[in-house]
Amino acid sequence: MERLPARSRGVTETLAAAATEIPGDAEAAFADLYRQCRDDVYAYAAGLLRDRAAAEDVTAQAFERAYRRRRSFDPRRGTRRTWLFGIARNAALDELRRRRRNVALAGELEDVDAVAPDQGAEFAVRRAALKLAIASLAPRERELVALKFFAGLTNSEIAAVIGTSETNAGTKLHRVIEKLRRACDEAA
Amino acid sequence: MRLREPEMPLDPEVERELAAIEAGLAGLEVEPELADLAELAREARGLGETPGHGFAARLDERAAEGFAREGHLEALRVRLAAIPPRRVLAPAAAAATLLVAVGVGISELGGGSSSGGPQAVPVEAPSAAQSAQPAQGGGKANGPAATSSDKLSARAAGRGSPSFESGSSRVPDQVLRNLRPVTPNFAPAPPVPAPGNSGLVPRRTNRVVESNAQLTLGAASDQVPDVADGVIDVTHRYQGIVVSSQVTHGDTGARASFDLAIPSTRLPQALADLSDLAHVQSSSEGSIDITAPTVAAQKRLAKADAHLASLRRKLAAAVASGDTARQAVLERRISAARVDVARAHSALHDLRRRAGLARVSVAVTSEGAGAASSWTFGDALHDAGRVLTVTAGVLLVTAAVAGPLALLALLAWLAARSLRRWQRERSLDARTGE
Repeated sequence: MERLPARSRGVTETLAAAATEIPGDAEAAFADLYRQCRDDVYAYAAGLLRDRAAAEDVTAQAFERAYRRRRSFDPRRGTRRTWLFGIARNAALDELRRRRRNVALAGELEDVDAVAPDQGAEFAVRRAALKLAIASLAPRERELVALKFFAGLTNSEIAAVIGTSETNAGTKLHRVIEKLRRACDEAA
Repeated sequence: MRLREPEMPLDPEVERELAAIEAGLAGLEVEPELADLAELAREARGLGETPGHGFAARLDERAAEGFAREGHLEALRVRLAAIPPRRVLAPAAAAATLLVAVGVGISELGGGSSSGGPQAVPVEAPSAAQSAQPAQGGGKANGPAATSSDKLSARAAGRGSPSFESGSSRVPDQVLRNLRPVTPNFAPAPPVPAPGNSGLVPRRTNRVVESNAQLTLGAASDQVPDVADGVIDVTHRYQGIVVSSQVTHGDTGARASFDLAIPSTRLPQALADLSDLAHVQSSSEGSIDITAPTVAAQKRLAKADAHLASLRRKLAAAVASGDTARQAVLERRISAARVDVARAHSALHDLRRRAGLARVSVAVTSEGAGAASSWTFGDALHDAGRVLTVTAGVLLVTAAVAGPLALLALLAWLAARSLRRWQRERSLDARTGE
């Protein structure tokens, strides 16, 4: 089954959302936010925690907290998306802190489905190397990967979520990508 | 969110590669030398997990229901949270106002103190000449209409208390006899030395104190006789003596005055009961330490007794020797010595009586009592001012107590929040590969 390019959709919609007006009604705004970000939040949590069950808990927790605080959102402090991911990040870090061990994701089935038949063994090797490289990253670096590639946040959004400048966020992201690049090159 | 780190300019090469990543994720064309980077970005994005259908469906359902929590407490919490603040503030403010008003009312009822606080007014010790005279009527009638109350007269006659004649009274002879010994050819005792002249006897522990008090009560004009009756009742209740009394009625109002002698040991209770009879307009209490004159009187009496005993022994010797001339001289000297003993005994007894009985002056007046019985606009303003003052005081005290506590709570909350943030960031600094 051909995998749909889900992540680019998140990037363009984020840019589009910045240009449109934020819905005045908190309920409607939250509903829109939920529809847009449900899968992205889950992907971020799963990428950071590397545990499907924990990712589900964190995702549910994040949206529940966001729903309870939906009226406290202040547009002067950022977009709804960064606000939501800030809540999700706190929930994920709380979970990370609670857990004493990481359980490996039961995601091997995903790999099988994700690799197109015509992409060949080289792609599979490269993919496996990339996956291994991501898994071997430090949690702080893995978080950047999860925010950027799994959740589809822009550099400015990442900076707002982790509490740093956009330039610093870009520099850190670049370092992580260089690491992954080297790992993939070595595997190749 | 952590504090923002200092802004550093991006390296141009880094910026170029980041742009290539963005282009790759967007599916746009990139420079050939950066194509692998764009491909890497697309591959990384492909590794992202998607939620399972079951979880997604459950989460969608919860989101549609507003993430409702189970349980009755949650339903109650939602109902309470849905209450607009203005619906809570108004009843809360009303309850707070009611509490303050009740508190002020209770404090007002429980105070009941006069406008002027009790002040100790030293009273000069009466001279011996005054104390030796029978207590005549107080003669305190000042008004033009000095007629007494028939009720007071009847009560006085029935109880054996001082009779009232033309607005004055006198102490019965029986009382006088109880107060001083009967001595024929009694000469006035020498004046009692004023306190301080012969020392204060500092090392003596059992002090001899003469007490006095003054009380002014306010009552409506038609209530003055009843209050006067109450004064007499209280006096008799504590085995006191109404030394003098006078009741006056006139166009300007009614007035009563009393001079009481109440056992010193029962003075506090008697004053409390007298204060309950009517509105206390003023009160004062005083005392004089008469230990020194008492000790001096005791010594004088002992000396006089010793001198009399000595003269008696000499008389016995003269009788035995048959010296009649000397006997006559000694008998005259013994007579004089007996007078001295009686005088010393009387002075000592008088001091003890002064210490044993406190003099209390009670005045009952209707002046100003009319104003106190009816509530005027001025009283309302005064009471309103007092309520506001008390309210401000309560709020100030509450703020003084709650302020530091709130500050401590805020500091604790800030510290807990900082700690939580630090712990979260620290969780990202675990070992690689975990």
